[in-house]
Amino acid sequence: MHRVAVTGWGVVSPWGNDPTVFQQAVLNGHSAVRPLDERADAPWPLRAAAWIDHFNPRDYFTASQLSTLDRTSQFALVASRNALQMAAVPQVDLNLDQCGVYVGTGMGSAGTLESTYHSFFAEQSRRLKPLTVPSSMANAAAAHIVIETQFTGPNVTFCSACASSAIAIGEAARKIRYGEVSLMVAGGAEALLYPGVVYAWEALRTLADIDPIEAKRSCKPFSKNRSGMVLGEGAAFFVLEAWDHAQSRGAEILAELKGFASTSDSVHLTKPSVAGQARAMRAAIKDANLQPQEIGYINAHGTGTQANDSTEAAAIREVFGSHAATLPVSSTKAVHGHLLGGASALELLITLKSLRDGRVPPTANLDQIDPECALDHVLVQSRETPNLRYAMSNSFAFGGTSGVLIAAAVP
Amino acid sequence: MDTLETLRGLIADKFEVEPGQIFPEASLDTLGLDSLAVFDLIFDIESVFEITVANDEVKIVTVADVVSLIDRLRQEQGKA
Repeated sequence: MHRVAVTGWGVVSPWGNDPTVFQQAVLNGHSAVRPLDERADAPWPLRAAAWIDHFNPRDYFTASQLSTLDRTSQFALVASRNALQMAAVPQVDLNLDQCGVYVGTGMGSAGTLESTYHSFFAEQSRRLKPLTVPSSMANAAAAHIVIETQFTGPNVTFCSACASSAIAIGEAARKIRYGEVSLMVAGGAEALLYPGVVYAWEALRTLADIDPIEAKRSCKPFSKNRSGMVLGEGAAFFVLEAWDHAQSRGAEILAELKGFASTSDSVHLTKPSVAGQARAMRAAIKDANLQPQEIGYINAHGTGTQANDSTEAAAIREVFGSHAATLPVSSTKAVHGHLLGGASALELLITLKSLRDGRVPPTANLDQIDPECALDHVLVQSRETPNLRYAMSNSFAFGGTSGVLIAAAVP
Repeated sequence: MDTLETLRGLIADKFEVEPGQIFPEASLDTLGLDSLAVFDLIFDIESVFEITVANDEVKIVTVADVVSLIDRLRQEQGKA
């Protein structure tokens, strides 16, 4: 069994692509959430979202490349390039058969599909763009990354709604742990802020009301006055390596991926389950060979919906017992929105940087703690956690899939 | 419409190829157009030259092949 080292990370976020700037915004509780009617590009429902407007595809891709690159693939490629650059993965002396790519995405290439259907139905076009299929296939992002890296090992896309990238990263770590590969690029990406998609979420009655005073405060995880989630977009990717592989090439090891579990509620299509979430957290703790009281921070799934937050809080109290009273928990979705398939990856990045920096982010907009969500919430400001060694990142998906990752600080 | 000039502009704009490299003997492959890019090019050719290119007509290798295909189909389809 090999230990799993994290040697690089990359991000595409509303605050740009610098992981340090990104983390600082999250630590400061700076919200990227804005009302969608600020955008005049389409008919939007009266809801808020956290979108990225600094991203110019032409800064990263040729016009020719862009003909097959959905926005999701663009985000994934840029984040994975940055992760590989940070890890300083050598171009030579790499056994490419021992390197692979695992990607998580929830809706895949939503933008390409939506514009294609618009052409077909609204514009009555019977001449659709010839590259619609290869651009919109759910595994397009992973395919582009392997072509760019020339990795010839496993190349798999995981689609488990909001747990997609937790599963991708966790399974990539397992592949390394069992010695089947020595290096994996793993992460998640999502770009679903298109009017048809947002209206579909609106129809499910899950989107938060716009806060009447400050729109950026619309998502309120664990708060009594929470009214739902806000959607976001972006990507985060990691370079994972077998410990000895990283050491032998002199790479800086940033963190250790210590445990992972994926379980299923098997109860309901959308309703979360305390028993299911507790089962996933316990399994991850066991996989990491830890005791519950050793976990020093949880980055919660914390979507801001009524059902999720009370269920997750109850599951955390059940798993951690009295330790829950002094176990810092926060949901960062209040500031970056819910990236669905990209959420777990983005939140793992926050978790890993918190481990490194000894400082965990707050849950923004948590003004009135719901008694049903009683936990040791990190309120208003980030909290210094100098002795933080192990942290957990939770993802609980529609469809009942849970993905829980546990990471360890590297001394 | 000068077919070669129009095609040259199309390829240069869409695939960011130096117009000087787009001469009749140049193969699409050496200009950096793979099989998917050729499908993408044909889509635009159909719009610009107002022709329909059947699936069995897309075996084209050089710029000259594309020019003669366009000219023939414009003639056949009454667009010339």
